[in-house]
Parts: sequence; C-alpha cells; structure tokens
Amino acid sequence: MLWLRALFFASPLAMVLGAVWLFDRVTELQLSDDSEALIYAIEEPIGYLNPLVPQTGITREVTDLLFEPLLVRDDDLNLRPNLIDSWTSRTLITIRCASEEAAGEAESKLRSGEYLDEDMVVLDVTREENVLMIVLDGFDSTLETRLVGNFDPENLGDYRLIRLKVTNSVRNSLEAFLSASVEKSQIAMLEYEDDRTANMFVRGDIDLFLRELNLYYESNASLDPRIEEVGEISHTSYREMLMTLRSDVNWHDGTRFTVDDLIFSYNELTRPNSPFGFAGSFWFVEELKKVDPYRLRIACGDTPATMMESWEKLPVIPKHLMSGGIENADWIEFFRKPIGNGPYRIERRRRDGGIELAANEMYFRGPPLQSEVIYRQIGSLESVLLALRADRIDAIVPDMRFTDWSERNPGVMRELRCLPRYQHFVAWNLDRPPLDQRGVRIAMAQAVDLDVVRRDTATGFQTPTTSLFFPGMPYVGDPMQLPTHDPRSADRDLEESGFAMDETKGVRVSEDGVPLKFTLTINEESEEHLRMAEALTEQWASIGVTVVVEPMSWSRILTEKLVTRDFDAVMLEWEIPFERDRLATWHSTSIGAGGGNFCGLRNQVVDETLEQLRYEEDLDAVKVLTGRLNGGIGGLQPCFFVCDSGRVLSLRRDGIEVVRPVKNGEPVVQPIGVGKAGLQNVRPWWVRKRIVQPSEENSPPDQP
Amino acid sequence: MTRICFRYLALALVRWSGVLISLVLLVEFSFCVVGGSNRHVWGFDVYQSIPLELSVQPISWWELIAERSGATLLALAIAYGGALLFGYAWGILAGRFRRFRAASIFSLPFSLFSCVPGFWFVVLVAIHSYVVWKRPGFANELVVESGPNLLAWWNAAVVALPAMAVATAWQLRSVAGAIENEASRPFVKGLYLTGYSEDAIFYNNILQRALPGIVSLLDRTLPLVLGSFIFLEWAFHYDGVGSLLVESVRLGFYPGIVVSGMWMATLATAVTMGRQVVAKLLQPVQ
Repeated sequence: MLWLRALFFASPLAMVLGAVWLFDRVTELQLSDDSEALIYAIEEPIGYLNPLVPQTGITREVTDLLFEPLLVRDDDLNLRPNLIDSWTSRTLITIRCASEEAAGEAESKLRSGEYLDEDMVVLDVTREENVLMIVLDGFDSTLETRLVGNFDPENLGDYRLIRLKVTNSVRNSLEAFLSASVEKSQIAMLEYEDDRTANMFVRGDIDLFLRELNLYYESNASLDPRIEEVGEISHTSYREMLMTLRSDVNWHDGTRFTVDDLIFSYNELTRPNSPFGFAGSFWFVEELKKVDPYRLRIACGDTPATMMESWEKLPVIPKHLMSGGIENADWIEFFRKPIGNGPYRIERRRRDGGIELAANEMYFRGPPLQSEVIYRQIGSLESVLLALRADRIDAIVPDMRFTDWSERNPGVMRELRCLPRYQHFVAWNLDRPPLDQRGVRIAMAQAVDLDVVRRDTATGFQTPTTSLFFPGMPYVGDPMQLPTHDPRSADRDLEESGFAMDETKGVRVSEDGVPLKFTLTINEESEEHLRMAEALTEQWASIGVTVVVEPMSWSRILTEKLVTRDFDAVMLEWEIPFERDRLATWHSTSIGAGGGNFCGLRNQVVDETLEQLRYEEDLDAVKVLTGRLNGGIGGLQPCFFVCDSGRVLSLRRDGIEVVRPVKNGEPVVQPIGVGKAGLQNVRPWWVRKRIVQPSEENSPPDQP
Repeated sequence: MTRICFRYLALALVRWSGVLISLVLLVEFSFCVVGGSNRHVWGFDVYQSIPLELSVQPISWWELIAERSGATLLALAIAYGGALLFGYAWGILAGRFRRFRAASIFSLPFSLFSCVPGFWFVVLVAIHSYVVWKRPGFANELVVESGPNLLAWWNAAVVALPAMAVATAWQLRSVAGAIENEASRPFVKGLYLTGYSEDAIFYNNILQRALPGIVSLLDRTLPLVLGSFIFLEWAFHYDGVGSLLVESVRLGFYPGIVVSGMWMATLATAVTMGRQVVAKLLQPVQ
C-alpha cells in the first residue's frame, strides 16, 4: 500500500498546485476589459435613473447620458433642435364669404397679395363653395383680424357665431339636438373645432334658436355645456404647431423613436393625477395628433412665446416598453436599468453600487468616441490613490480626505466646478404673521451675514444668489438686488414693524407682548440644510428672533406643509431651470392647490411682469422684464435667498478632453471645461486623452 | 449509536445556549450598561432593515446571511480544509520520521508564516497587486460579472491563508505529538526487539492505536480559524460573517452581532458534536 501512503502524504501538494494555478489565472484578469474605459470613482451608489423626477449628483449625470432631450441648449444657451428636428407654427383662418362668387373674388385677391400685409406669409389657400380656408405662417395674435380687415366688407358673409363647448362628444349631442330642433334652419354653417367645441354660424332671428339650444343643454347638465354668442363674425381661426422629429433616432434596444413615444410620454406625464407635475407646463396645448411616425400636429389654445421651453422640459420614455398594463413595480424596475436614447447605454449595474455604460453605437449624432464609462465605488482613499497612480481613475467625486490629499499634492488633480444650478432659500408664508410684513422679512434678510452661512465642501460649492434665472441666460436683464447684511437696519426695521427688544429676555415682542417667533421646517435628510438652519437660527437669535427648527421628511414637507401651505417658513432647494416662464411659481393665481406659489405672493407688478414675460418675443423687452422680476422679488422678499450651489468634481490633470462630433468634419477637440450650459452639455463627449488617435477618429456625426 | 447521537446533541444544545446567553449578556453590558443605549437586544424594533453600511443594495435578511455565509464558508473550506489536509497528512508523516525531528521541520514554514503579522501580509498583497495588476489588490476591488468567479476564490484564499498557516502548524504538531506519544509506549520497543519492520510497527500498530486521539483533534483548530476570520475578513474588506460581526459592532447593530456570533457558534458546536460522535465510535470497546 505504498502508493496509497504516497498519495496521502502528497495530497497537500495538490492544494499548493491549485493555489499556484489560481494565482496564475487571477493575475491574467488584470482588468483588461476596462483598460480603455473612462473610470469615475463615486461616493454613493447610483440610484434609479428616472428622468421624470428631479435628480442631483452622479445619478442625474448618468440619467442625462442615457436619455436625450427633445431640445437642447447650445453653448450660448440658445434653444436648438435635437430629437425635435424642426417645428413650424401656423394660423388657420376660415372665412365665410357672402357668396361663392365673393369667395372666388377674395381668393384671387389673396393669391395676388392684395389682401396681405407685408409680414403675412400664405402657406395655402383653399376654397369650398363660399368658404375660404387660409393657412398663414406664424402665430401673431393680430393676424386674423388684420387679414379679415383687409377684405372687401361686401365679400364677407353676415353671420352670427354661436360657440358651443361641452366636456366631450359635441358632435353626438349636437346632432341629437338638431334631429329634433325646429329652429335649426337658422344655422347657415356648422363647424366642429374638436371633440368639445362646435361653431354655429347663424343668420336671421336667432332668439328662438338660442332658447331652444339652451333648453336642450340645460337638460344635459352632465356635459357641462357653455353656449357663447360670440357676435357678428364671418371667420374662425385655429392655431397649430407642426413638429417634425428626427427619423434616425433609436432606443437602446433598437426600436425606432417615433411620434408615438412623444405622445405617450406627453399623455402619461400631463394626465390628471399624474405624480410628475408636467401638466402645468403644457397649459397651452389642446390636443396632439399624429400625422405620420415622425410628424406631429399640436392644436394650441394659446400661443405663448415660451412654448418651446415647455417642450424642452418634457422627458421622453419608450412607449413600447412602458404602455399596456404596466404596474408601478415595472416602472421602478425599468428605471433601475432603463432603455434610453442617449449617447450611452447601460451595460450593467455593478455589485459595488456603480454602473458600466457603453457608447450607443446607434446614437444619431454618431457614437461617442469614449466607448466605455465605468462608475464605481471604491472602498477606501488608499485604494483610490493607488488606482490614481496607476492611471486607473479619471474622475472622482471627492470627499474631504481626498480634497485634503489633493491640496497637499498639487498637480495631480484638477478641480472642475460645475455651474451653480441649485438655489437654496427659506420660503416665508406671507399669509401668516409676523412674516406677512415686508419690514420683518427685510429685517430677517439684513440680520444674516451670508458669508458665514455659505461654505464650500469637498463635493460642492456655494455662491451668493444673484438672479432667479439660470446663470448666463441671454434673456436675463438686471440681477436681483438682495438686502445686504446690516444688523442695525434690521433692528430698526423690526422696531418700525412693532417688535421691540425685551432686554430682560433677549427676544423681540410685539406691542401685545407676543414674541417674534416662527417655525422653520427643513428636510431632515439634507445635512446641508440642517447646517444652514442652525447658522441662520443663531444669527436671527442675535436680533431677538426665536426660530424653532422642525426637521421632517421631504414627503411630509410636501404633503403636510407645502400643499396645504401650513407652515411659517420652510427651507427649500430647487434646480434653476433654463426657462423664463415663472408664472407657476410667483403669480397670484398659482397660490393654493396644485400651484407653485407656496409663499402666497400677491403683487400686481409681479403678476403683470410674469404675464408679459410669457408672451414677449423681443429679446430686449424680455431682458427688461426679467430684470423687473428680479427686482420685484428681491424687493418684496417672499423668500430669503441663502445661496446657489453647484457640484465639484476632481479630474486627473490632463487626463480627459472634450471631443465633440461635428457634422461632415473632423471632431473638434477641446480642453475640458463646463461652458455656459453646464456639465450636461459637454459630459457625453468626455474622452480619456490617450485613446484619441487620428486613426480612431470618428466619422462625421453632426452637431446641434 | 442513536443514544450517543442524542447525548452529544443535547450537550451541543447546552453549549449553544450558553454561547447565546453569553452573547446577549455581553451585548447588553457593552451597549446598554457601558454605552448607555436604551435599545435592547431583545427589542423587536432593532431587527428592522439592514443599514446601508452593510449592503449598498437593498437586500433582505436571508439574502445578507446567505451572501455572507457563502463567502465565509468558501474561505473556511480553504483554511480549515487546508489545515486538516496538511495537518493530518504531514503530521502522520512527521510521526513516521519522528527520529529526524520531522514535526519541527514540516511545521517550520507554517510557523514562520503565522508569525508574520497580518498587517505585513496585507501590505505584501497590496504591493504585489499594485506591481502586477496596476491596481490595489484588496478583496473588494473588482467584481467578476460573468464566467467562473475565480476572483472570489482568490479573495477567499487571501483571507484564508493566514488563518490556514496558523491552524496547519498547530494541527501538524498536534497530530505528530499524538503519534509520538503513542510511539513512546513500551510495546513499540518490544515490537522492535521481536524483529518487526519500522513500517509495520508504525502503520499497523502505532497509527491504529493513536487513531482515536488523532480524530479527537479534528475540531480543535476550527474556533481558531473562525476567530481569526473576524479580524482577517474585516482587514481585507472581505464581505463575510466575520466582517459582518465587526461592522455590526462598529455600527451598534445588534442583529448583525447576534446573527454572526451565533452563526459561528452553531458551526463550531456542530463540528465538535460530529467529532465527539466519531471519536466515541472509534474508541475500542472495553
């Protein structure tokens, strides 16, 4: 049995051999897969990549790489086509002429240009008996009245227009009425605008007809009928927008992006009770109609100048994956690993909480030159530093320890400051004393030395608030002038507002002996807001104001405080949008349920400015209006603006550059920077420097 | 046989309960008496969701225990399996060549290795990983998403190796010692004098008579290995039961402390019970 003994005694050697083999194989791993990848060290796991809800930090950055917006901002912050390739606006005017001959004469004069003003561009004219249908380019609100005014009055029909509006199926109910009506002969022409509106052009004595119509619809109150006698009028008009989508955009699973996706996203995000709150941005849209897979007709009830800004905000999601019996759990699962249409697609979620992205080969502007991006969580600073020295990390979301190391070792990293996109403020409830008094609010602002409150951290920086609008926007006029730190003036303002200092207690009290006191609600999950609240409370206490800080969860703040406006003061943070339309935030009609005017600001000048801002086309006039709004809000102080904040990233010095694809040309290589439009405009084009080689340069995708 | 099993099972249960009571008292004393916490280990509210520090992904209790147990069992299989393999095979060989002081020679590399402080081993692994892979080599640095998870074996081996070295040296010397003890008996001399060959004396007499004693050494290194895993797993960032215990202590997370502590106690008690049953069965009938 010598062999058995030999085998037994030699068996440990098998383990040694196994260990050697394992060592050899593992050595071969060597991260060969990601040697060309751009590697991003992150601090926290990446959450749900949901473009429908506000996001911050790395999760937002990755979401922006996965989903493409309908419109984009160029480097000068002007709105440019993206998924929406082009759009035209048209005004359709239907004119009822006195007779067929009059219509023929009017048509010939129209075609010869006799009836047209200089700025009128006719796209189409059609005639059907005595009705002329004219399509004009543009949305000018005076177009129809000017055009009809140019007509020979004898050619126009003398009709009275009665407009009927019901909640739905106007055709069915009206036909039922007409089948039994005895006065229907008064109707000369009938036109259905849409499913809810009918225009009846009547002639002669209409009193009996109106009485009959009213009686009929009074018995059908469920339709919520509204009968309007518009007056003597021979024309109707209708405004619509034609939108053309790019036909070369694919979702990451290869499915073509079409109008169906846009309509589905619009309907899902703007439907009643939608949790996403986009409905308020599309108040001017009446109906969306698919013309073909890449063209869309939008019926517009109104034509504000800010329409395209609303479309810019609308995220699009794939209809083929999200429609039809999809449960909430499916939505959550979808946003864990979403199918988007942006320059990058998800390769896999890493078990360390990171994510691996691969360049979208089907991306309509051409795939990004950087073929792989890895976001990974690395356990310790030591690991980060070793990986950095081995050129295995290109970008880092720094922590304090890394920032300290970086300062001690200059030349290795480069700090990249993104734009200050987030605004932090304390919203006052203007319907509650004592903050209903402007003097008290001004004093509260004057009492605080914001230089003490603001601070820079490893991952973010804070700057003074200077405007309500996105920094650098071409439409922004004068900045917002906010009260400066002046404790003496604060004392004086509070005295004038009736709050004297009770020296024995160190607090201010009103003439009735009520102390100047309020509750400041803050989001308990925001460490920065907790810190800010502490600093503010301390400074307000120094002028005798007692502040009770009430931390609570964001969901409770939303449902129990903001929606019901049951608060004294609440500290909020919002992302400064690109758009200029702020009616939903500051207009007096936005106070209350569903509105965004949580402060309850009611000011005629602000209201008028907001309304004008929505419709004004001229850039210079817009600048005046934005300056006026900045001034109005700064002066009224419905909020106490604490600061604007932005992200800080650490990049390997000279490790990354921006390689932008250019239509029919060589890609443009630029040094890394943020630009006016922020990080999201350049982030897709980040490339590790060493892999940019002439032979690898991409073929000529285009540029917005 | 059944009677023996039940007797040792009852003994194991007593031991297990003793550990549980000790652990609960220890936690209560440390956190509530010394630490001043008002949360008690028996409170239902402490057994809620798993802190993010223990798992970056949302995970259930069972998933956490299964994941951590799998990792520790893999490392344990290498460390404890290696200690038994080397300890028994080379311990018996050392007993066979006892006159050449084979036990000291065979156990020397393991003893030397086990004298190397864990810190230096960690540093060596890190330096090697940096030089060869251009990246740090701690166990949580890379995730193999497809194919055989060699990296998991490598990570487990890195954690297991120091524990295995200590346990092997001890096991080898113990086995060799048990055999040498048996070999020092007078009957061995008698067999020599009657003309038996060394092989025949060793394998047919000494080894057979020493077998119950050798088997009784089967579980002796397990508590040592499990104990060393507590700090080795934590030092190597290895997501096992040992690191769960340390992280739970750091976080003051009672469920993690109780579950990981009792997981180790259950394993050690079960192996001891198995060893007792086998040793009892191997004992010559009087």
